[in-house]
Amino acid sequence: MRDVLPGLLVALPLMGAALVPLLAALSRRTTRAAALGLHAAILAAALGLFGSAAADGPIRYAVGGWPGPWGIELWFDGLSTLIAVLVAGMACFASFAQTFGADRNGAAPASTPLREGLLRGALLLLVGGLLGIVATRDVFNLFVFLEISSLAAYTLVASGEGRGAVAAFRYLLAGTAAGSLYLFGVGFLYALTGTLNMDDLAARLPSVEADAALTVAVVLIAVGLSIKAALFPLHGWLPDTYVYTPTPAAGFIAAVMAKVSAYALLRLLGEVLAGTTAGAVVLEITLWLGILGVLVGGILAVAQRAVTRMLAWSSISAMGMILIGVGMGSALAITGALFHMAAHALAKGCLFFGAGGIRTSEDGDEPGRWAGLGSRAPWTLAALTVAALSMIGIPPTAGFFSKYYLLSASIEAGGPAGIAAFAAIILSSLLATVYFLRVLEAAWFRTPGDAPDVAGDPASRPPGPVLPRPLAVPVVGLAVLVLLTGIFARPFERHVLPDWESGTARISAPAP
Amino acid sequence: MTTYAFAAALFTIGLAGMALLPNLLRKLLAMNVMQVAVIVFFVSLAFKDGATVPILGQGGAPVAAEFMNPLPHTLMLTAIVVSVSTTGLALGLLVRVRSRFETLNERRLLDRLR
Repeated sequence: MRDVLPGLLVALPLMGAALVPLLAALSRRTTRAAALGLHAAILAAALGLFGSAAADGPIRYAVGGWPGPWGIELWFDGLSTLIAVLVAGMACFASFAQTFGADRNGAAPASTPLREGLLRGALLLLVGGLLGIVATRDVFNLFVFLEISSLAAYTLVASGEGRGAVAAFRYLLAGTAAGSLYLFGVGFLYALTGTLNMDDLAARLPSVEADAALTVAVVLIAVGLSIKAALFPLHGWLPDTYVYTPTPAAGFIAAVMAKVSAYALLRLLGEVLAGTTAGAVVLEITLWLGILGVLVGGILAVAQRAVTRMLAWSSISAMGMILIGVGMGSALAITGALFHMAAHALAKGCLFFGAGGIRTSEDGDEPGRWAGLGSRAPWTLAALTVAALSMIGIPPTAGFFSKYYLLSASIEAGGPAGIAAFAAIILSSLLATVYFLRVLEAAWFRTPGDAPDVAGDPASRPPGPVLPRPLAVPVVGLAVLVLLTGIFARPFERHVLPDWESGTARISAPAP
Repeated sequence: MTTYAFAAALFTIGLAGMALLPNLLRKLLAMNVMQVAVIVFFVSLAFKDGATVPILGQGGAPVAAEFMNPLPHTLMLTAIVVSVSTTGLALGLLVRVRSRFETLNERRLLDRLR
């Protein structure tokens, strides 16, 4: 198992991405079944690695039998397998949602069998790229996977109508700038140390500590990955991208895309480069920018009039919170950051699937369009309410525990940064209450007639269910997971923390 | 050193062009300049005067000083492939943007999106 699964985890989605579009020549049903089956197999592989890493310790896998530092290594510990499970799991829901045909944001993204096959291939490619970023232990390989995932994401963003193409192009510019900055930084690191392997890098960095080029390398890598992670003030690409992406892809991209980059930032800055002076300073800056991002994202989310745009700004706030945890760097803060990645991915995926579907069925994106939905589709709305409560941080949802860990870490850290982080997280919860209650109040307590921000006759809405089944199933499933993750928060903490502590200990210990 | 400064200058020009130019196609060209800057940096990193490709010659123990490091050049093959696919995808997007909005000017485009 431990010899086969690591390779399969990355190879399966990449091979599937090439195969699935070809199946479109057979029939829609075959394409769907194959894509769903592949995603389920990938999830099974991720879960197998998760269990194996938890039971028998981290797995080091040399690709092609070439050991590091010469070959490319994959590395599976509590952290990377957790994110891999998250990505693979969200992809299953997204693949299910891809059956959703018509979308207000794109005249039927999956209109022909070939188009649907290609979009399913793009999703598999995106998953392969993200899993590669999560698994790899080689900094150049990380760049390649970053670009693979980005290219697939641009395709999915542009699969809607014309606005999607504009948003995708702007995302492409930002993403390529990010990738080039990162690659430039990797060039500096390679020139300094002559290695691309993360463990080897960490061992050699102390000997070049005095070199000014190291500072340049750290800054370039940090800025590059921060753009991808939408760290304030480098978040400019995010709102349009999330809003104009067709719903099935938006649920997936909004849930995991930026988080995987934040994970890469955690790996490189928090683990490999943390021992250097420049790394420590950049982490401190990341912490402060995270605090600012939490506040700006929350305030601008309140200011939005469209529900999906509000969710996008709320994501910027959430990414700030994750990067607060990365910046603090204590074991408790890292737990909070990772837990918030999981909690926010589940809740935000649920909300984007739901809000995207409602935007289509109710023919509009204002909170007023949600009026009366509570009585028309109580189960769907209950699920969306659970996700919203998790975003606010109400127990026993997952969002409560991630905020609890991050608040504890802020108290533990103390000092001005600790106080500011504490205040920002509390304030962001209050802001989230404001902007989510506006939508939930409309859904549960208003009738379509008295919604103030909706023009036109409510009776003119297209008939049909609020959410078609391809979207309703992911929405309800994710809400259940939000609750389960909250209830089983303690075992999670026990599983992830030891690996992080032994990982940083391994890095800071002198090389054997 | 000169080539490094050249790469840095090229990168800055590209980045500034992406931020400041009004036309999306020009932005794309600026993006290519930026990508080429990174390639120039890596290629010049591995260059050594008087050295050759690392293939063992006629007998004798190999001397590291006689060979260039092939790895950065190999990495750049991959980076060039990445750059080509990104450019191709971007051009495809621009064709769609142009046919739908009949402009590639960013400000006019954003006005039309409202």
